[in-house]
Order: sequence, then C-alpha cells, then structure tokens
Amino acid sequence: MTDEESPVIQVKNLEKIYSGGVHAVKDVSFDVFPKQVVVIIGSSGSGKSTVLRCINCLIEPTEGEIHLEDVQINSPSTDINEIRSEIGMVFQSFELFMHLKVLDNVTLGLTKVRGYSKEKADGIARVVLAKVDMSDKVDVYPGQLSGGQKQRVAIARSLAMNPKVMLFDEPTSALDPELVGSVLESIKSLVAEGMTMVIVTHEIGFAKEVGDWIIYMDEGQVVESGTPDMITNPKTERMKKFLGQILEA
Amino acid sequence: MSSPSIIEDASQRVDRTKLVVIISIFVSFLILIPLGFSQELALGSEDTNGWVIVSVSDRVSLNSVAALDYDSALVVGEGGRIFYTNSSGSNWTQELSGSTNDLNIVEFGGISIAAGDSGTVLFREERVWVDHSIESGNNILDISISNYDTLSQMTVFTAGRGGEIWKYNGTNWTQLPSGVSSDLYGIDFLDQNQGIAVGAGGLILGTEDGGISWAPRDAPEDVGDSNLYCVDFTSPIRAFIAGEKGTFLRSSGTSGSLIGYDWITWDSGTNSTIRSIYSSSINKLWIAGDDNLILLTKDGGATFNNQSYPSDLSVDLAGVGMYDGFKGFLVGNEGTVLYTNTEGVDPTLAPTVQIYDDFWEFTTLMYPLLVTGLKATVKIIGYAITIGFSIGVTLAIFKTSQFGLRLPILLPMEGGGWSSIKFNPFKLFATLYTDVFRNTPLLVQFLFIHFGLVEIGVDLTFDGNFHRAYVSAIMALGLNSGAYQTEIIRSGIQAIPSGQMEAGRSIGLTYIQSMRFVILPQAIRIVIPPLGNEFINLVLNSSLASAIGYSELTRQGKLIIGITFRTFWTWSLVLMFYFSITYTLSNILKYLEKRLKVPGLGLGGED
Repeated sequence: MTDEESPVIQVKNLEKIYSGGVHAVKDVSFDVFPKQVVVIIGSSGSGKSTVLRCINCLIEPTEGEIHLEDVQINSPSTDINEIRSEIGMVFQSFELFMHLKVLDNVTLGLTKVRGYSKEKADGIARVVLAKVDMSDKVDVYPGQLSGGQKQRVAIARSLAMNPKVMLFDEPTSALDPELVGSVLESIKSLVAEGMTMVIVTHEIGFAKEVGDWIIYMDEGQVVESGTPDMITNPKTERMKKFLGQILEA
Repeated sequence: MSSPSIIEDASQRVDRTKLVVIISIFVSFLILIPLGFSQELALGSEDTNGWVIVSVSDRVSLNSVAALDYDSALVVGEGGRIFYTNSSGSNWTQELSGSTNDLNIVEFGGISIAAGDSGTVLFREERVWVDHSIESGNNILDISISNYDTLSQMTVFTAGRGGEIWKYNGTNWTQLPSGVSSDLYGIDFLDQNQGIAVGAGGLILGTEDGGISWAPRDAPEDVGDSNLYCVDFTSPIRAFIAGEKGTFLRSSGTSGSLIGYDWITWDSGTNSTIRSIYSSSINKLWIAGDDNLILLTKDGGATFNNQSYPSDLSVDLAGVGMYDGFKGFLVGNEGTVLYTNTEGVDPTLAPTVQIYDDFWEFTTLMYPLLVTGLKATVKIIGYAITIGFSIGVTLAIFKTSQFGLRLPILLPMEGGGWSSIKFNPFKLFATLYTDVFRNTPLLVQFLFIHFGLVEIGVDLTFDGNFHRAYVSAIMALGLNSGAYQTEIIRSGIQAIPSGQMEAGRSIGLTYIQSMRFVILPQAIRIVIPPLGNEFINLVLNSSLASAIGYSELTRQGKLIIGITFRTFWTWSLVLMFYFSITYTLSNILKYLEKRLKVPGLGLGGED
C-alpha cells in the first residue's frame, strides 16, 4: 500500500436510488490500491452490499463514477462483460451452479468467457480448487457439499478467472459458526498472496485482522474510515454504538 | 458426508428407470404387434381375381361381345358363329346366323345387330337372325346404332375396309362418301348427326350432318401412323379413341363447343394394341386388347387400373361389352370369354362385399389403416413438439427479459425525482402471443390456419412440396403448444434464484450465455414434469387434426367406421394406439427426469 501507485478501483461520488425511491447510497467515494484489502462494515441496510454490487455493475449506479484502473465501468461505451471477468465476486449465498459439478462450476467462465480449451480450463480449475483445499470434491454436485465447502468452491470459481480484484459480499454470514473458520482461512491465504480485495463483512475480528483499510457505513453514507486501529478507537458515536451492538451479540 | 453412496444409489435408480422405459415400450409393442402379424397370415391365403373364365366350347376366335342384360350376352366370331347366354356365361347356346362369313362386330342398341365380312349384316328380330346384308359391300369392321325406334325407324352406320361407310335408314343401305380409301376400323355416333370414324395410319374422320359429309380431324403428332382400332363417343363433352401400341386419345375441350376436333394423347401405360373400348359412364372406361390387356379407368383416362384373370395363356382380347359399371364380358381368341360382376376387382378386396363380424378379420384388414394413422400422428407430434419447445424457450426468455426501451414520458417517483417509462417489446410480443393462443380454442386455430390462411394467399404447401393439411396440423399444434410451453418454461426460469444470474454475470458471461449455461439447464430440469404433461396433451390434441382432413389416427378411425360400421372395435383400437404413444412418451420423460436430476436442485433431489 503505497500512495504513489494508482488505485485499482476508484469510487467517486457514488449515488444509488432504487426504482422504488429508496436512496441506498449517498455520495460514497473511496479508492482501492493494489494488494490492499478494504473492508466495509455496517449494520444491515446501510448500503454496503449495494456499493459492492455497483462496483461490478450488477446494480447500475444512479450517479457517480467507478473506475477499474483507467476504465470507467459505468460508462455506456464499456463492455461490461469483459470488465466483470476481471472482477471476482463471492456471494453471501454462494450461488454455485447447482446443475454443474464442482469442477465444471469453476471451468464454465474459463471455457465460455476466456475461450480456453477444456483441458487447459480443467488444469487451472484443479490448481485453484487445491488452493481452497477442495481437490477431493471436484466430481460432486454442489448440493452434496456443506456450506463452507460451497463457499470455498465459489471463491475458487472467482479466483480461476484471475481477477484484478475480488469482492466478497458477506461471505460467512450464511454459514454455521463452525464452518466460518475454513472460509476465512481461504480468504486469509489469498490476502497472503497479495490479492486486492473489497470485503463486506460482519466479522469485526476478521476485518481487523486482514483489513488494510476499514470503511464504516450507515444509512448509505461513509461515516468513518481509516486503518484497522479505528475499530478499537472509534471516533464517532454511531460507530461506537454499532461496535457495541456487535460485541453484545 | 456420504456422497459416494449417494452417487451409487442415484445411478442404480437411473438403471431401474431405464428398465421401466424398456418395459413400457415393450408393452406398447405387445399391444400393436400381434395385430400386425395376423394381417400377413390372412391376406396371404386368399388371392382370386375379379374376372372369371366362362369360355365357349368352340376354340374359335371371338371378335365382339354385346351385353344385353345383367346376365345375358351375345358373342360373335369367325365363321359366322354367334353364341348366346342368359346365365352370365355358365351355359352358351349357338344361334343360327345363316352365314359362314367371319362376324367382326355385334352391338346392342334396342336391337342386336351383328356384322362382318363381305357386307354381312344380321338383325336379331324376335330371337331370329335376319339377313340385311349390303350387296357389293366390303368387310364391315364396326357398326354404330345411332337411333332405334322400330325396325323401320332406325339408323345404323357401318365402317370397314377400303374406307367404306354405309348408312341404314330403316329400309335400305346407302354408301356415304368418306373421302378416304384406307381401312376404317371403328365408328361411333353420339346422336343422328355427330359421328367419328377411325382407321389405319392414325386416320380420324368426323361428321356433323349425319354422315353426308366427312372431314379429316388431326390426331396428335405422337400417334404417327399407328392404326386406330376403336372409338367411343361417350357424351357431348367427351370422346375416346384407342389403337395400336397402347395409343389412347381423349378429346379436349369441355362443353359449349363441338368436340372431336382436338385430341390429346394420354398415357395408358401399356404397349399392347387396344382393340376395344367401352364407356359405362362418362369417366369410367373399359379397355380390352392384345396380350391379356384389361384396363379400367374411373377418371377419364388420368389413371389406369390393370386387371387380370387367373390364366397362363396369352389371349388377344378383341372385344369388351359391359352391362353396367360392374357387370360385363370380354372376348378373345381360343373361344375365350371372361365375365365379372365385381368391377373386375378381386371380390375379397372389394369393401362392398366384406362383412366385418369377426374381430380378428376386422383387425387384420384395418390394421394397415391404423398404422398409417399412427405414423401420421407420430410425424406431426414430433415436429409440433420441436416447434413448440423452440417457441417456448425463446418466448420464455423474452418474457423474463429485463431489456427496456426508455419512452420519452416521465413519471414522478414516490421519493421525489422522475423516472421514465420503460417499454420491453420482447415481453410485449411474448405476452400477446401467449394470450392469443391460450385464450382461443385449438380447434378454431386448426380451422383458421388450414382454411383461413389459404384465402389470404399464405402458401402452407411450400410450393407444393408438402401436403397442406400436414403443414397446417404441425403449425397449429406447434404454435399452440408453444404458448403453453412458454408459460411452463417461464415459471421454471422464475423459480431459479436471481443470484444464479448474478453469479453468471459476475464471472463475465453475457445475459444470453448466463441464460443458456446457467439458468435454462436448471429451469428445464424443474419443469420436466409439467412439460411432459404438455407433450402428452399435445399428442391427445393432435386428434383435432382430423377436423382439417389430416389422416391421423382419429381420422383413420372414422374412415374404418365408414367402411365397417364397427364403432366399438374401432374406437377401442384407436384408444389403444393413442395409449401406446402417450404411455411410451410419459415413461421416456420420467426416465429423462430421473436421469437429469441433480442433487440439491428442487425438493426430493437427494433421492
């Protein structure tokens, strides 16, 4: 994390108003630098997932700009499909393709988007599945896996595309507590490899451990942001209250 | 996690389902095949012909026959021989002709007249042959009785060697100026004025004034110099000529103008020489000729039906005389006389004489009709399912699409601000389509496509390459089923969590790719059961195609009832045939459902 480097992701004055009129994100701006791990925390409905989905245009921003390196993502002239393959995304509910075996889940993007041969795609898929410790499950259907295993396959699926940045949308919140560890281990190993990431999470301890930069959002706005130290020394009352609720629970 | 055992269990389940499919197909065949076997057994054993040999005892050449009644006839031949029967040819009696000249022709038109060589003409007056010969007359080859009231009020024409044409007016013979010297073989008058004579080297003569003047008429070029042996002036709108090498001519032109001026060659399908023709109605024509030639046409010569009789001999048939369209005689050399009272058709094949009171006989004879119907049904449902499924998938994608054209109309939003109206033409089209096809009766759709579209010039035969009813049936079934399949597949697509589309998009797949590789494979799996229902519905609905005249199972059933009047047996068989189709189809779908089942997708996925 050096300031001389240009950011991988730039979010400028992001606004999102849903068609129902809900103003979910209000004037959010931040940068993500190479190899940096940005963690967004906040209570439910604070707009943090919306921000994440805007970054790879699963949701179209109402106002503002989002850049991946020097390409503006939310511009009509950009080929959004090409951009998305550069941005990995891991969902809260895994969203594995239920009709495909684990290996095929990982190779689908490689063969259809990258145009790789089946053999080449298989090779890459086996390497990334080994990284998340799922080598022994390549031939089973997602329906036969536990939640933690599913999420690790989902991580492998994103990783296989060799993305410039990976987005995690509450990757552990749908998991039983005893399964959370294995997923967090996989994410940590990616951090160790220097993957650039944006993580939306409730795991405050985890955020503090892996995060280089913490953003606290409430009611669609960035309330406070800073290094992980801010979790132990919150400056604003809202953040203090939020942390209090988390620790109570 | 005991996943290996789950997989094993699943594969065993698949095998068991496969077995069920095989058994169900076997059951279907069990229903259908025995009926098919019995057919070969029964039909192979019976093979008789429509013409029966009823020859006279003299082995002389017989030249002509005239049917007097349904069972009586006169036959003339060489050496002045005349034979008479009143028992359909069972017994023949020779009648005294008082002549030893060969008799070439006998004709019945109120009076029976026989004629032959050296101007011989005999009238049958009160069952006695009276000589009315033409002194100094040449050999007579044909006669035509154009009018008969009494012996003194009658008109007869003859044609013969050297181009001679004579006319009898009730008292005496006068020669008419034919203007030709080549032999004339045939003559026929429609009434007392219009007549045609034919002869050697493709000669055709015509008169319109009762024979006072004759003028040559042109034969088609391909007749060449073939001899023309016979002519039949059937009606004011139709005449036929036939002769050497199977030559068969039909007058062209219809009503209004005099016919006999313009002739067209029709293919009789034979090279044998035609000696005699007889029209029993305007389009039903009997033909006799050399080498056992017996032809029947029921459509004025468009198609010919070759008939035969049980014999190894090669007989040149010289004359045909019918009492009506079903009963009549043929004569030839070696004293040969043939008789039919079944239109020359094998009586076991003629449906009019068949009585269907034996179930196995009934199924035996009707099985081919039902199999034809089965094939026709399977053919249209195959195409209709394919078309319907393609429409279903396409329109389901249209219906679930998020595409929107922004219309230049702004509406205020609840939380302030303005939003433009979005308009999705794909969705609109799909909605209109399904609404129209699901809210109108299928029968009316059949009628509209088959009878309605043709009036505004829609060519469903594709330049005559396909049967129109066939294409109409496929279109109606396919388009209708497409609407229902659209709704079924749409429901499947909407049952897939939206996250699946997001996941597909997030790894870089386009919307269409995500549909193709992520959403549809899961959606289709979910909707196999309702889709199977729809396929079976389609099979059952295909019976409506009978309403537009497509010969599928139901229509064949109606046809069989028209032939046999056996409603219970027929509809029972038709039901069995439908059952065999749908039972097989539903088992194949059941198998497909098990086969494609993946764990975790939908309830019951783990078993």
